[in-house]
Amino acid sequence: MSYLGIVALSVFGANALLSYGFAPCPASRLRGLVGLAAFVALFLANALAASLLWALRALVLRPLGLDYISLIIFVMIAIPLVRLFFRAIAAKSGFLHRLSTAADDILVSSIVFGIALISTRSGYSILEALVASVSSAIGYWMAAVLLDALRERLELSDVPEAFRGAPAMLISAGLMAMALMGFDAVFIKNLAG
Amino acid sequence: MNEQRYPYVPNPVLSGLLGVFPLVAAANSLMNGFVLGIGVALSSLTLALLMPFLQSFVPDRLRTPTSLTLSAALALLIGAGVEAFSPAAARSLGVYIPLLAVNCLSLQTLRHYHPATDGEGRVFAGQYGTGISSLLKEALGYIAAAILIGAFRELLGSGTLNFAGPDAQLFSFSLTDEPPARLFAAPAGGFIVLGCLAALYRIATLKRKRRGA
Amino acid sequence: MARTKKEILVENLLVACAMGLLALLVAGVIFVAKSGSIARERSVLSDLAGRPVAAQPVAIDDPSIRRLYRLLGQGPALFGAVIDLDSRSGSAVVAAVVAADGQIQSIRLIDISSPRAPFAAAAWFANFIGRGGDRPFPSRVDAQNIALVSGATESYLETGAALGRLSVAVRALAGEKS
Repeated sequence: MSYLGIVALSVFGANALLSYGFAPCPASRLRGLVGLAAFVALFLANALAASLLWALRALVLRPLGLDYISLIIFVMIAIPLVRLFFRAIAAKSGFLHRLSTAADDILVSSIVFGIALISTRSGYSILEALVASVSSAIGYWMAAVLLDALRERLELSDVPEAFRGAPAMLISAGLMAMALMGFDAVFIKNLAG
Repeated sequence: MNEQRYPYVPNPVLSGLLGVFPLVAAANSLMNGFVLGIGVALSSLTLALLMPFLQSFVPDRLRTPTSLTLSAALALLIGAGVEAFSPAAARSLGVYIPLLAVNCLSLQTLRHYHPATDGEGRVFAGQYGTGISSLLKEALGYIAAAILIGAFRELLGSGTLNFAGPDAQLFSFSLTDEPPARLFAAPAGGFIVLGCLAALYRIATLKRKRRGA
Repeated sequence: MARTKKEILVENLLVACAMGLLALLVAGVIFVAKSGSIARERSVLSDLAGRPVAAQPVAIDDPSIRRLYRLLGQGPALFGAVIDLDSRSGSAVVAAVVAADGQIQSIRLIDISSPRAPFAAAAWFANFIGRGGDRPFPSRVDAQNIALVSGATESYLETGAALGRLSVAVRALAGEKS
């Protein structure tokens, strides 16, 4: 698949939130510098985690026939290395401080694990895995922001008591996911190569 | 905890939306729901039982990476068990078996470990009380929700209900010849089913509250 | 009492070693658990091909091909593989015997996630036997003419794609050997 196809698939067809259902990130509700820091943290954490996992699998685990324990090696090596990176660039205040604080929460979440595992399993090269992980992060953020906007509209609407809050949000997410169902791998391959 | 806040079975998924993500995408059949429910429950209960040892031997600053590693080890072992039980079910669940390592129920065990008021070490304090019994309630609630969601989605999405053991079909029920609504086998259907079940749960909660008031 | 840097380092190393041991233990347990399922797969392949299977699998870099073996014994060069098939309607694990030119000789279903999955249909794999080699795998146009495939075209094409990748991998391997 071409890089454009990988981007389109990761953002729409295999959306991390609406197709895989990775945990809704409350950081998407943040505005201004804090929101930007959370998005950049998500972006960087996914890129680094996916690259490290790809490297570990291709250079160490597969040659040794130990691919089946890639998860525990990911947790023991890749996650601490990514955390070290964020600690290294952290500052006492400002954007970098918010970035490292956001990264601490994001690193122990299904979004980083899930995107890293999916990107490195699909038979991609390192560049393709990097593009897939970064696009998945963008697609996730896009879906989270859209759902957040929907949530604000629902709060102002007259929703039956039983459906107020989470039930209405879930059904709305389902309807959005339905809209994205048309973007499957075959459609995107025909369109983008 | 106020008993009257909850209907008969307090449920972490339908009331608190805890650990929702694998159910929405992967619990599209009774078998998958069962496997995920058991996996999450096993993982969180084992982690909770090991927490006192972690607390004794591991300094606080290393507790998170250590418990994450333990959680990953449990996820891998559960995955091996599922693979031995049914290779196709393991394939169908795909990335959601490794993601048992970061399921919210297990991570909650980490975050909600508090010093006990009687000074005898730490206890787990979840949304249904303190101690292992509250965690057991949450785990059973999760299994129940997972099985319910999986069963609904399989009935609506395929028109059947099946449960297969390692060598034979243990249970099989066919509602229709053709799948009534394939949407429910997809993640979109998962969101909708979960939303409707959460609404039904809330109706039961409100009715109970009104009866008690 | 304040901890010295050395004490903190020693603590970190001890915990890291403990986690390393845990990883080794898990690797060992999973290795033993996998041996059982590998033995089952080899027995299915041997039964399907009527020939013994090589002791070690061939290293292959395709995520959908679980294991690929050379088949031993008299006769033309054959390969046996266990592959995963995925679709929106379910997953399956199948065993396939492939000739050196990539032609699919026989296929058998090992496990399926749901009896309603399209792979469970009795004649699902019939159209793929004899493909690869000189005969290409069914295209979208071919799929539209098969009644069995109606409503499951993507699953059918995914099956063809997975078997196609297997066929290409076997041809490359056989080409390397000769």
